[in-house]
Amino acid sequence: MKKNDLKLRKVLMGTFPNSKIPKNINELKMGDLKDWDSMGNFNLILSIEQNFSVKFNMDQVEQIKSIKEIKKILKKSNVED
Amino acid sequence: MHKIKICSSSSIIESNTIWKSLKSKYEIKFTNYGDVISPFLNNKIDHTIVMVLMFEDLIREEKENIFKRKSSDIFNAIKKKSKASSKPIIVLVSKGFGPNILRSAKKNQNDDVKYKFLINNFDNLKRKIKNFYFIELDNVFSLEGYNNIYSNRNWYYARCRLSIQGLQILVNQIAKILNRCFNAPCKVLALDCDNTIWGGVVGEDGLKNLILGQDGLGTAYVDFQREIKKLVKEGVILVICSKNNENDVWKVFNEHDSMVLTKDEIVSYKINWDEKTKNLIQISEELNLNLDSFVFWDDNPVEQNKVKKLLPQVKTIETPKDVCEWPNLIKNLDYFAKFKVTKDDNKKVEQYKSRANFVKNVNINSNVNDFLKSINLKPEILSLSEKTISRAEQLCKKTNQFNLRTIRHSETDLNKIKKKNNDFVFLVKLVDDYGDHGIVSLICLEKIDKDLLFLNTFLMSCRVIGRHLESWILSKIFNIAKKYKFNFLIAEFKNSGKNNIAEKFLKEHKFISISKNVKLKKIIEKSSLDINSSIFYLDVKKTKIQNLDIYEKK
Repeated sequence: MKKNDLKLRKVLMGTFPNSKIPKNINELKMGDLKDWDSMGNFNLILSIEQNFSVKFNMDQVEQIKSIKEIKKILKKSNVED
Repeated sequence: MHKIKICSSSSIIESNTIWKSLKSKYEIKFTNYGDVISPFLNNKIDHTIVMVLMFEDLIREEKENIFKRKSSDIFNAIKKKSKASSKPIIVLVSKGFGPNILRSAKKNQNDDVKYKFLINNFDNLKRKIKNFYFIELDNVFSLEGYNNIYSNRNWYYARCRLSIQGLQILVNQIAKILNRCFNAPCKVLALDCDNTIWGGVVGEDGLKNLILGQDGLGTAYVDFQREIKKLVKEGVILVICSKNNENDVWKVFNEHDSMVLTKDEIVSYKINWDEKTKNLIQISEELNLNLDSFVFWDDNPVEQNKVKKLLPQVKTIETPKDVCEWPNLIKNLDYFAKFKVTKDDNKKVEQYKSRANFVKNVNINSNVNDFLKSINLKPEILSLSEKTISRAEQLCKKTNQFNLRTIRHSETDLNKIKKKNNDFVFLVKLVDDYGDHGIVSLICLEKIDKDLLFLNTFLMSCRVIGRHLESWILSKIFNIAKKYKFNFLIAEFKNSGKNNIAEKFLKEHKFISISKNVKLKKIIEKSSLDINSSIFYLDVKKTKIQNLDIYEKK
């Protein structure tokens, strides 16, 4: 597994401690985990910002609803894999 | 677990894991953001209230009277609640980005005026209301910079004005103040000498070459000592723990012109080549103070790590390499920070010094009771009054060892007990050859049956332990029991992990387990006491109290 996948999985575990995070997170999206509602989504974004040292703007925040989109935006933000 | 209600004028993202540490320590409930009034309305549940106010939330509406109304609603809610409950009410405020500085350079802007109005009112309340605490967050926010603390994106996306960094600081401040509301501050500062209260090594560099005094780094050491002296005035016990030759150290104290601290401010010292951990343990025994109330300040990381590892309960300071940072660091240290300094705090140093002396002499004398008879013990009973009540509350908060139930009564609670019966709450003051120990004990009694008098609170400051004062106090409690015709004295022992000595007191004075007396047990079962806890009784008529001869007048 890639480094960022591992890191993302850790972030998911930290943000949603009450849910079991599957090994393969690629297809995960909002609503798939118990606490991943709109507020949970925001908590996830805040945690990603902290852990990957990035900052998303309003457009990006509104766009992010799944791991796929997160990865896409991380790539655009030049976060190395 | 303490119950806390947290309310805020805008979102503080309660679901974020940033709150986890607080949630693990307290039972926390958040109200919906924007609603800062409802926690004050329910008088049935007694909880601590934490209110986070973002000033910008209060002035969002253009209309003048809305701000006035909103703020006076808050002031009134606080006033009303503080009359009904003694639990802390804590308000944290941040002003946020102020108006354009050019605009307010000549004329105060409307928002400035409003903010000052708010602050003045809270300042007034904190002076008048005992259990009300007020924190201006901007003092801490400004250290990090507003641009890092506030987040416009979070505001427009989630109605939270703060960035995650800002939230973290907010959580830290709340944790800090709650901790001090419910836990006593540290009592002892254990200091190293070389490269700590002066620069250089006295044994090698000599008195003349120490860095201490007039200019440069020397003034930083002087300022550091000045800050320590301020702590001593607030009642912090100063001890020295230094690997050195004792004579060298005292030579600096006595002969160096720039020393701020004096030898008589040092309550106890271990200046030798032993391990510091061993020395710290000895000092804690001498002073009869738990190591968890010790702060250890030493420049040497090796010593720091040893203490951290072997005595984790001691608060070891990771000192910055640059001594210039030290004066400010110790000044702002939370460990010693207390909400108010009482008259008794100022006498602390003398009291603990005499305590250390007393322990030395007890160890020398073979017959302890004869020795105690010779030191002119003069206890005196004081009633609860305006003069004594703040000390009474302080004793409740701080006494951990000799404390049967460790109930942290507030002034309001104590007044309630006094209202029921004037005789049922009293304090004890003690003077002997070792000094004036001040008020050292608090007793609260409670009627649970016409025959049963309950020891709601029996606590005694650890600095007078070893004088059998508890026996004398017990005899006074017996007198009250007899006066009101109670035949039995009931005591409960609540194990707090720190109060073994209180349990020992019950055993030494032959308290009997309630399970041995079916009749009494039945009465207790009907009372509010938990029959499954450790409950004991004494027969007031039949019991003879020991050690009283020490206190008999010659």
